[in-house]
Amino acid sequence: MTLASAQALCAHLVTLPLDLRADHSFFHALQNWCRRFTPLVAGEEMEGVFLDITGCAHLFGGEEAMLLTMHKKLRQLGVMACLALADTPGAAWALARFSGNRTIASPGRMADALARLPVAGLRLDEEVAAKLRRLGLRHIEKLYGLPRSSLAARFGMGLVTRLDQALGAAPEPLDFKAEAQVCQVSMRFAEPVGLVCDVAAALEKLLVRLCAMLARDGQGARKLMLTLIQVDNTRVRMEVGTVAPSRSPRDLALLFRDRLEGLDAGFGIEHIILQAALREPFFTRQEALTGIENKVVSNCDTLINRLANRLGFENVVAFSPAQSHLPERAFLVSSPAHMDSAHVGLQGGTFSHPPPVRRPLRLYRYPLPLGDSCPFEQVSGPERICPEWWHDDPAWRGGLRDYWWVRDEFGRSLWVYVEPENNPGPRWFLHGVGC
Amino acid sequence: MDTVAKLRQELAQIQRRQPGCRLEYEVRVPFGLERIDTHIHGGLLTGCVHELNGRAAWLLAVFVAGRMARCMGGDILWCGGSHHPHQLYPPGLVAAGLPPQRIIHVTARTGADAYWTAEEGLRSGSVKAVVFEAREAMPLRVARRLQLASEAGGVLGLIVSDGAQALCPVATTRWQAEPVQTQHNTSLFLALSLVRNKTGKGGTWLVEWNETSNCLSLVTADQRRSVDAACTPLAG
Repeated sequence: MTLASAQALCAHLVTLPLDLRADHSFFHALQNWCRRFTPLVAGEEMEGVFLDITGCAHLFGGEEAMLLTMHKKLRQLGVMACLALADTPGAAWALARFSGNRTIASPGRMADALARLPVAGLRLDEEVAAKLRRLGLRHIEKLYGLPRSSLAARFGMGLVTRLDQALGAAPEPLDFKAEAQVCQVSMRFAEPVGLVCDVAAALEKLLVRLCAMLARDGQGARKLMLTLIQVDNTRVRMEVGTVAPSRSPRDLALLFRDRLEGLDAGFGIEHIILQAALREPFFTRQEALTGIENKVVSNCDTLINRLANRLGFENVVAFSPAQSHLPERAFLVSSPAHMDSAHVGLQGGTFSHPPPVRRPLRLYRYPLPLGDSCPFEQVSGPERICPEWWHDDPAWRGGLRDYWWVRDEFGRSLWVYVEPENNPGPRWFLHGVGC
Repeated sequence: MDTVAKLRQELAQIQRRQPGCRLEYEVRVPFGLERIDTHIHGGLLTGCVHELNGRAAWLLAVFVAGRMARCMGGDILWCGGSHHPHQLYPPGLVAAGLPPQRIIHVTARTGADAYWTAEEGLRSGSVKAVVFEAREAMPLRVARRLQLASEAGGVLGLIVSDGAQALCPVATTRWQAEPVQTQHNTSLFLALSLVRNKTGKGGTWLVEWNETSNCLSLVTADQRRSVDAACTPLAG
């Protein structure tokens, strides 16, 4: 049905564009939420959720009570759900869609439970279901008595397999998603604390425990989240990041120290939660025999972490060369985490020495317009640089450039360019400083 | 550490402020130009803040940082800001002797952040030099803090600006590098003057930066006459 015809039928129709990303994240949130009933949760994207509640029902007061709890809690969340409980995933799927809400099939009697349901309940292709309906096979019970060989010959193996799966005659393994491991430690205080030094001391203890957990998993933290819960349930959140996975309690405590300085404890803090929000595999480095070399490397990481947490990670960078002949694109900025030679080699080699052509020491962020003619004495040039036609770079709309080295009235070396193809006439720009 | 070594170090800390003395434990970065190096007792003293200004200060700063990175083999913390219309351009640094992969480049938005960054870098001792692009004359308190941080970390501090006025009131040495107008096409001549020196006398030299071979050399008296004939030095 088109939108126009739908709106013709219902004048007050509310329409929203499909947001697949939001649907996806909702579905994952729902799956995670369902883990409160059972650790085994599976489900196809937007097709519903399968819960294997074997051995869990008694915790909620039996199967009926469990379904009722589920139904109530989901309705509180604003989710309209159809629930069903059966021996096999196939039967539960059919019952949830084509039977009343909260149907529970009696154990071992799937054939009876499914008998009066339409054949579409067997998770069939639309084509096969239509074919069955045309032949008058409307309900699942009609399929029970038919010879299996002719069913398979006429409708394909899919129908027979689905029927067997629903009745429990064929296995149907589900893909249970492992629960995301949360790496988190917490501490509760008997009396609320208000002093920053007390919080810092507690934090150090938590960091030691967290780092032990990380060490057990062979991981290091890239991002830590600290939640301080005050007596009146006010939550203060702090986040620190590192440029490389770290599990050194001392270094991580140092990062929090800057944040904790201006802490307002309110009526007192009674609960601290520390979570490693982002973790990465931690590769231990081979220690040098003297231990000196190793110390230098880790020290530099400590400094970079401190700077980056205060100034922002995008403001603390290292340079590596890039494959481009345009002056502005000739280098890349990256996180200075792994500055060892192996890493630089991976990113496309080092800067060539000596450079093939002379380049300035400092480059203007935006070329400075000089006018129609060059006001300086030309020393060497031109070096012609063409724009990269495969990139539409607004800065290079003026066409190709001829770069010259010039001397200004003070004797400084400057890097200027002219756009000879520019319409209506050539324009000169100052682009770099050579001394 | 035994007591004698401890006392020696303490003595060295005190003696550092005495003019003209050569210490046993100090580390100096030589320019690689003999006459200048002997004049300043072997090179720029690490664990101190030095100031470089003048129109050719960028070249001098990159050259000194490059010598530091290559002689001592460590990283350089380059603390830039958004107050200049231009910024450090890595591909051009190789020629001036500074390997760009050795640089940790920091962009500080405010002056306070910039001072903090420079101080942390100097104090940490994990980088070999901190280059600070100064935006204005720093208050005496800040300058003292930087000097103390650099003493604590043993790191070379370089305050760089392309203006003519002094920005760091406690700098151990202050250098002024001004380009000299000449007819030479392949070389850039710099009038390098040591305008402040806490541990000795000042001085003025003419150095040549060869733009094709990328090396710095001192201009001798003979060469100087030929340069003088063709140039008109501009006072800073």
